[in-house]
Formats: sequence, C-alpha cells, structure tokens
Amino acid sequence: MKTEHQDLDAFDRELRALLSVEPSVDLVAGVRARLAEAAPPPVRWRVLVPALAAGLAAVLVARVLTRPAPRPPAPPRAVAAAPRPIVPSPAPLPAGEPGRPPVPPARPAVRPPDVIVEPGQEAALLRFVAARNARAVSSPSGMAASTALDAPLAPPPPIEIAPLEVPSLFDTAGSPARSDS
Amino acid sequence: MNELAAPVPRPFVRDLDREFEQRLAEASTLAFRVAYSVLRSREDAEDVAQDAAVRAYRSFASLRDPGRFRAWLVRTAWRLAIDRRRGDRRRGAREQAVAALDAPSRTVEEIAASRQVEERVWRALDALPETLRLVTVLGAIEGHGMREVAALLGLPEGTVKSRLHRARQQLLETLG
Repeated sequence: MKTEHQDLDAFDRELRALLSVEPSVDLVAGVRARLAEAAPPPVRWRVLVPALAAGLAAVLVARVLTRPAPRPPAPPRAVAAAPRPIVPSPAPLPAGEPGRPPVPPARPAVRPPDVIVEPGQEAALLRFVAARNARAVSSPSGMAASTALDAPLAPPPPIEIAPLEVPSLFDTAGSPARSDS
Repeated sequence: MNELAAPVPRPFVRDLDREFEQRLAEASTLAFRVAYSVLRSREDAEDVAQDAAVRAYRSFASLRDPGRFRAWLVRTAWRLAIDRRRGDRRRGAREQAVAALDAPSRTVEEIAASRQVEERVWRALDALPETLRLVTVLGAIEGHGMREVAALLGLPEGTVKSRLHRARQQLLETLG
C-alpha cells in the first residue's frame, strides 16, 4: 500500500515537473501576428455570401420563368406547287478505264425530279418556264381558278351513255338446239 | 469574430482587443501546457495554443467572462492538440532531438535515466482514456484543485473527483 502511494506520488511529481514548461515570450505576439495576417474581415463574407446566393437564386428563377413552353409538333408543310426550274440531266458517266469499273460521280444531296420532254420542245418549255417565273405570261386557263369560290355550282353536264345492246340468249337462228332430256 | 463583424464604434473595438489580450495573457500558458501534455513538443504546443487563441478571438464577444474564456481556451487547445497528434507521427523523434540539445550539461547516463522516467510517465498517461487523462493533466498543472478542474471542464466537482479516482486506479495498474 505504501509502495503504491509512493509510486503515485512520484508520478505526480514527475508529471508536474514535465508540465511546468514555459512557453516562449513570443506566444502572445504570435497570436497578434496571426490575427493581423488573417484574411479579409468576416464582415465582407457576411455580406457577400448571402448576396451571391441571392443573385444565383434570382438567375435560376429568371431562367426557369423565361424558358419557352414546349411547342406542339408542327403540321406537315404543303409542298410548293410552283414549277421548278428545269435542271438538265447530268452528263453520261465517263467510261471507266479498261479493267476498272467506272467511278460514279458524287450524288447531289437533293436531286430534282426528272422531267420528260418531247424532243424538239425542250427549248420552248424552258422559255415558258422562264417567262412564268418572271410573271410575263398569265396562267393558262386550265391552271387558274375559273370561278369564284362562293359562286353557285353549275349542274353537272348530263352523261350520255348509249344503251347497251344485249343479244338474246335464245336466238334460235344459228343457236345450238336444246335437249329437253 | 462573427459578433465583432457588425459595425461598431472603434473605441469599443479597441476595448475588446485590450480585454482579449488581458484574458490571453492570463490563460495562454495554461493552454500551452495542456497542448504540451499531448504533443510533448514546445513548437507544436505553441502553434496549437496560438491557433486556439485565434479561434477564441473570433468568439470573444461571448467569452468575455474570464472564467469562461479560460475554460474555452483550455478545452479548445486540448482538442486541437489531440487532432494534431493523430496526424503527426514524426513528433516523437523531433522532440527527442530538441530535449538532447536542451540539457548539454548532463552526462549521458543522467540523460538516459531521466529519459526513462519521462517515458514511463508519458506512457502511463497515454494509457488513460481521454476523459481521465485531461483531469489528471489539469490537476498536475499549476496545482489546480478539484474545484478549479471542474470549472475548467464545466463539470460538477463530484464528476471530477470520480474521474480522478478512476485515473489513479488505472495509473497504479500501469505503473505497478
């Protein structure tokens, strides 16, 4: 029991001695220096942080409010009925070198439809299309609306159909004789 | 410093700074020693004590009561020192080199014997749980009594007495 107390007393003495260290005289000066070199005063942050947060929130709200509503799918567009300029058909493919297949030319992205024109009428058709595009000629009667839309409709012309002549099945002349059996 | 951040008249700020320096002068050595009991390095202990003081300055408006400031500073220094010790594995070797330089007049045998005793004390202290270690350290520093330790830790005196008793029981087992 006595030894235990001696051990504890010795421990206390040693611990007291070990913890009686003195700090350097620069301890408080070091605190002053740290406070002096501390970053900008917190008052700025106390103002800046809420201001930045409010600005960010305002930008987000504005973006949400000004976002355009989703559009319904667009109706199919009518195909323009105006005549297109005639594009001459491409030149025939050049003959490939012997032993090699001919290299086809690059296809255009959109190829206009081919127009079949009688031989000898191509020049006349081109002149007509050019004049039509320049609005130098009026529409042909068949292409323009002949009647106003609100005019009463004329009765359709009667359709004349010649009566059919049905030959009699029982024409005796030249017909095969029927057997009663 | 949050409380100091509001615009206040300069004389008031100067009064606060003067008051803080006064409180710091009263409590800085205690904070340093508490940190030293954990780190066993003067340099590290001073660094931790200064760090705790800077934090205390930021909250000084609520710590103007002398007793409260002292207790807050001690607890903060203890916590910071524990955290630093966990992250610093090279502390022991550095402190041994410093201690050898501190005592050039002693013989090698005296230094070795002193080092043995010192190691034994630190080992016994380290074997204590954290709560028991802190009351033991505070009781050993500056001859604090039970009441002062209780005030520093914000605990009832009975709790401190019980912890000190348990600490001594464990120390007996370790030292015996």
